[in-house]
Amino acid sequence: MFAALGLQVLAFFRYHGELTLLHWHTWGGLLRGRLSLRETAKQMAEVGIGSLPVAMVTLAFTGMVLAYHIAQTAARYGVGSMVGYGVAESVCRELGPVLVSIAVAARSGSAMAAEIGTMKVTEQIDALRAMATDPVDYLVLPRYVACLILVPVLVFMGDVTGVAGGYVMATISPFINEAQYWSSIPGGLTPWVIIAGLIKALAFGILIALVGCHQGLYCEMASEEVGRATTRSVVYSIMLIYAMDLALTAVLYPV
Amino acid sequence: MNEAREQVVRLRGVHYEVDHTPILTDATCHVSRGEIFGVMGMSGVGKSTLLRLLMGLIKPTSGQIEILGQSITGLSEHQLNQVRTKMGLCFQGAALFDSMSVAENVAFGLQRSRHSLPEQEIRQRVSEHLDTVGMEDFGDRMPSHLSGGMRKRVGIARALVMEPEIMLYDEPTAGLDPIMSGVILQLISKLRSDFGMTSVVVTHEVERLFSIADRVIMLHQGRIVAEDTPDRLRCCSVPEVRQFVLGLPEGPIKV
Repeated sequence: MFAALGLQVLAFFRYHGELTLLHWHTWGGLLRGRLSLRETAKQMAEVGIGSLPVAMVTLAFTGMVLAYHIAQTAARYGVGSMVGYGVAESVCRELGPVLVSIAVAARSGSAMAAEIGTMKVTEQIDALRAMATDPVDYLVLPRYVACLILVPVLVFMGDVTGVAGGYVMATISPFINEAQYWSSIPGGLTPWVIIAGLIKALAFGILIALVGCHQGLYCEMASEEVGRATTRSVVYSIMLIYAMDLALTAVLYPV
Repeated sequence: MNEAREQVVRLRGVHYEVDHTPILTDATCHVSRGEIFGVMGMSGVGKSTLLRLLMGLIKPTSGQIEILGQSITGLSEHQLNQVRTKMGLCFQGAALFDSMSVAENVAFGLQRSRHSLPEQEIRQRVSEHLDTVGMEDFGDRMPSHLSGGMRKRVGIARALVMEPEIMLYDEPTAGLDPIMSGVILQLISKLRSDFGMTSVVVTHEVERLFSIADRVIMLHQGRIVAEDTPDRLRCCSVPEVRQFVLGLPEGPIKV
């Protein structure tokens, strides 16, 4: 049992070591000016357009459900006018960054693992190396930059969509006053809450790209392994997003 | 033949193993400039591994590999890329980039080259090399719409377009019809006679290999069991060579 536990611990440290090395290698390429703008634009379209619908639908429904719950609780405590603020604070502070990032990890992180994993299995990664092209520069760097830029953009759009979703609920719920929904937001929501959410999004974007690309690059040479790598990329991304969220919350909102 | 010529590839005591299983054992041989050097043997005896070692895609467990007078065993990936620019590798499965068209595949190396050429010249060179392998009308096709043989021809064009000093071919005629096989072998000979290109050709098709090679080695169970000219190998007394060359079902090679 101890041997199995020891192996798991070793695998945990090896995995995080590999991720760190990949991050280091990616920055090396970035600083040496190896970023292909064409590939980055392609990846930005892939991440942005691919993840936008699922991220926005997620946040729209979350905002609606949140407004519904908050309205019931707020009415009980006599603060029914604060529903809009409650939704905005919850979405911008926590739900927006986390849920959008999970949607991007599921949609685009998995696509990165599948695409790069397939390239590995069909020797396309070796072909890149044989043609004196660094696979990290060519494959990881554009995806990294695309996620770095687009996850915060998607999170901001998700924040807006979540709050708008809450407003839709306000228009159909007898518990929420539509006018008060909007007017309660500026007084309560501080810019820092939005900025801190975007800082989290930046970190989550880095995680999604690194985990997705790592799973592809380290995929075993068998086609069924591509499927496993794809699944792992989503599971590991989500786990790391949760852990990173906790750490960043402590750093960004010190007691 | 012609031992006085510059040795552009040299292996000394090269040993390669995976998980303590030897794949290649004590391989020592050389390839002279302008030579067509054949590597034959059954499937799974380490022929493709030998090419991957020469390209620096994998590192030997022990031993020395020199390419164009430079030892590559201790080189970093970045230093290896300098050596790889002088080499071309035609993969067994072609390893075409499946997100790019045929023409984009062939142009890839030229576009990524440090001394990038004008777009017009790249198009010209791509067209010439596709013409050489009889694929001039398929530039806009995606690799998924090509047959195995056509993919292989594009793979050869992609490697040749960089005008390497040393070309490595992994089963260049496998899956091709007899006429196209003849065209490819004729091309390998022509590249030597016109440009002095050195070629290492891995195949298990004995007669085709003997028709173009200057010297051939035979690999069996990861070891070089014979090294000689095709004519001498035809009457070689080494049992493994005799069985393989004559295609005998009985002998030391068990299937």
